[in-house]
Amino acid sequence: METTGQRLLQKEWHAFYPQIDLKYAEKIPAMLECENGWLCQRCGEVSQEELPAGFFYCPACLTLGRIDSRSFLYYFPVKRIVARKVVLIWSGELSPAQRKISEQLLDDQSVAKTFLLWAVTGAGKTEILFPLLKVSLEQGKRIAVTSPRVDVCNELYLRFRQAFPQENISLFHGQDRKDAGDVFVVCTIHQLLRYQDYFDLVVIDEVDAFPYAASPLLHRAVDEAQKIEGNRIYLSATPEDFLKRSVDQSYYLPARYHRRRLPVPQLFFSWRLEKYLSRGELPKKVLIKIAELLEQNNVLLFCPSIPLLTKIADCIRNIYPKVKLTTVFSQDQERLVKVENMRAGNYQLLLTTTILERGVTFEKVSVIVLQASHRVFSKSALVQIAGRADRKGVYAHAEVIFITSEVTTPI
Amino acid sequence: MLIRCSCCQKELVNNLTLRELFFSNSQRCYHCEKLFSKIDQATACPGCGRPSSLELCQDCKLWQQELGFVMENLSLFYYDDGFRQWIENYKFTGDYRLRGAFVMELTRILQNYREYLICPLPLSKERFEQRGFNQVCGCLDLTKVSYECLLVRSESPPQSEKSRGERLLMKQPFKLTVPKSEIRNQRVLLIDDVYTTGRTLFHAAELLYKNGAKSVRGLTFAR
Repeated sequence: METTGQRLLQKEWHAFYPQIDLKYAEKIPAMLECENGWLCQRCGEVSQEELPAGFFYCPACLTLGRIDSRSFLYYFPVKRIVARKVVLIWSGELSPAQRKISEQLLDDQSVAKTFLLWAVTGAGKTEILFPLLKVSLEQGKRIAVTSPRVDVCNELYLRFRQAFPQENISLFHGQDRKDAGDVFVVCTIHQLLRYQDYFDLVVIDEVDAFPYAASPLLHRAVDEAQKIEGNRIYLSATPEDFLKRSVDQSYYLPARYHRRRLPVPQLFFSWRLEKYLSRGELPKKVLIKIAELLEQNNVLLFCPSIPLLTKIADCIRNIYPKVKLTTVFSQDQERLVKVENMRAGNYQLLLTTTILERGVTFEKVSVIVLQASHRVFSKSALVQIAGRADRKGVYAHAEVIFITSEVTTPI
Repeated sequence: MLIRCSCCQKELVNNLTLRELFFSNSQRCYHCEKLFSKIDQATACPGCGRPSSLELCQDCKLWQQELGFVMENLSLFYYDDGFRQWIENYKFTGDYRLRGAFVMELTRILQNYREYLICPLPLSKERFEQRGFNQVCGCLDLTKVSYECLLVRSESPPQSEKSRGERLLMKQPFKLTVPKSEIRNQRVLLIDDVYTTGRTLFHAAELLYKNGAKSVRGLTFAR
């Protein structure tokens, strides 16, 4: 396996590839002095953070480990990849609408540079890419599939490994580093900071998810990691107008993959809901509704905030001690394990914040949004959350319930 | 009015009323607030600041037997997962901006030591160059309280130059940076980030007592 094409600090080379001798590597200074500070060569931000010892560091890309003005980034020149045969295994079938887009996408690669695949949640965006990925790999191209969220990266990695069993696919993010070279990389956007002018094709999944949406640093990371002449594909169920206008070519897929419409959310009014919630309690009729849904399916319960979520979890544990429930939120270390357990059916009820609003698949779930009028539930968020219901497998009478005391514009 | 979290520097999205902001003991956002759990001083060990130990704890009793004095160390916070998270990002990852995380608590506690010479424990030259800062001084700087680095880590001469007797003695890692006369009869407050065994603090205190200090006490951020 060739040496990685990543540009890394000496300490990173020692940690990830201790057998490599940097004597033969190219190097550039990690930071460059400029007018109002020091420019970070890894992320492009200018730093004014000077340390007492007299050097500067970059606070903007600390997630990858501290880079400072005394260090260097070392790298090796990129090798060409020979054309080869690639095996794609996939037991499903594309619907006519999906197939059409899949073929168009492939044909358009030589005439356009940026693409948007606008598809409803669960429409099978990933499968639509398989033929294009196969052809690109056969042409010796380097591909990066990236997403702002770790959960989404993990899921994509699994699906690609299944579909392309003979390919070397890497997974890089803050919590894991499965290194299989740099030909086919699945990673969080931060990891792209380690590549410069490298990928022929970059696919960005869940492009409007936080934190990518508001960060110029992450936008720059994608631009720099992709080859100037490379192509870019955005995947999203709720793309902003700006994105729709700026791409060369866009494709819209309205129907869900298994051709059943999204369950229409039902509004469930609870007039003094906030009063109960502030006491950490749930109104009786809400509790009854939860029990009803649990009899038919497993349930995902979305809460607007972490403090509320913990209170409600306790409330439900007291009232329904037999229900196997768990909670998941951004600060939770065991988040990924719990998601796996829920997926396997080991829990009946999963309470969560908006962190799970997109990208994750469960079989046979109904969805409840508690206090749907809360400001964290934007229109886009509610659409994505509703998409979690009835995601996979045989039709299972899943319902989507918005519990609220008032109707808001997003609702 | 833009107020930033003293720890992560993000804007404080106001879940606080103006009144709460004025009277709060800290200026941390929801997430950073959870990192720090204050030790109740009323029930802490008077020797090392260990929580829930009304009288001198076992470790301190042993120190007293061995060296003849008690450290009288005060610790601000529990060394729990939250504190560990902060100190890893600050000290080991090296995010210098995190130094102001508990500046308000630190400033307040230092008011009790006005007649003391305040002395942060030093790093070795190597560690300082590598990290780029002394983590204790980083926190102290923002309190605007004046302090002096009375001690420095002595670069130990090669073992071969020491006699067997010298080598067997526990090594005193510190040296004074100021003349003895500046220490004589003074009260000194040693400051460090975490109190684990107390060994380092005791070495420093021994050296100061040997040079005539009247009393030496300790203050650590966590225990």
